Amino acid sequence: MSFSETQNRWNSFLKKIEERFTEVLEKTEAALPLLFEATDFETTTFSNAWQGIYSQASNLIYKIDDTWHEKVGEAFENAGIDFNSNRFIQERNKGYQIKFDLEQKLKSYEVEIFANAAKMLVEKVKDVLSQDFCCSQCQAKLPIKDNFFRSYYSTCEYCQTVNTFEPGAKARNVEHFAIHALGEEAALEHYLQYEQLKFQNYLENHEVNGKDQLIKQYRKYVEAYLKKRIEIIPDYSDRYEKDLEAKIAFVANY
Amino acid sequence: MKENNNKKPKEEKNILDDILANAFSSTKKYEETNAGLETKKCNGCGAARPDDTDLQYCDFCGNQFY
Repeated sequence: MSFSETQNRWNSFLKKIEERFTEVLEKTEAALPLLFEATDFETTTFSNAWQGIYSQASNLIYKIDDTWHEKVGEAFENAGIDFNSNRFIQERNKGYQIKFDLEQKLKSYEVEIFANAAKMLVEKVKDVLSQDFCCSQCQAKLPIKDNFFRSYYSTCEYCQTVNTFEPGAKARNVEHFAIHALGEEAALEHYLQYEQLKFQNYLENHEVNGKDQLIKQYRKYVEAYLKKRIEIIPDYSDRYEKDLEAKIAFVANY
Repeated sequence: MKENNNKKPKEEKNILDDILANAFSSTKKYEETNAGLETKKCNGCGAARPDDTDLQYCDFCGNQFY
């Protein structure tokens, strides 16, 4: 097979992978919110379904590397292109670039799909928490916080009885599920940029972007993520510095 | 590098349906707690716990709460 034939087959293979990837994710984007509503905002089923779809999409991405190593690299060599020559590297990098682009897209889809579900959940919970909750002793209306999603004491101002307010499983899921998703959404552009810097290093095979630059970019991501969490649950502001330090250490120390 | 894509769109739809159906049927469902209020009451005299009292003893009859 000639160089141009091999190149055409490689290009059309990459194009098909991209098309299939987009097809899977577009259908998912439409189907998952329906599943979330049908299960009455049940987050575990939603996460399990996404995990299945994520595996499918990842398998498609892995196919690029696998196919290059199994067949394509060799096919180019058989077509007279020297191993590690400029043209060889150019064709190989084409695969790397598309693989990276799809990984970034997968991350974006994941963040967007979870953030949309989180918004549906938050809206539902605000609705539940805006109902009237009355003292279990005297039936007077009790003040209920709409930005705190754990159990807490609420004292009746009429009869002084201490009531324990349970916000319910959906509200608790705002803390366990929604704030992470919304934080990720707020910080997504910084995260993608961070991955972009790492990819440049990988592609060039040396540190075009140094560790300091990477940490600086990762810090932007963490800051945006934590600030969004505080916007939803102001209680988290007390531990902002500690959270920031811990999350950056994850990257800085390894 | 060979790709046989003739039946791919139909298969893909089925895979997505299967994944969703599998997640739906295989995830353990727990009983969901609803939002609500409750008050700890004394087993002895039935009094509710007033503000600024501890959870250990009833403020009215001294009976042990826990």
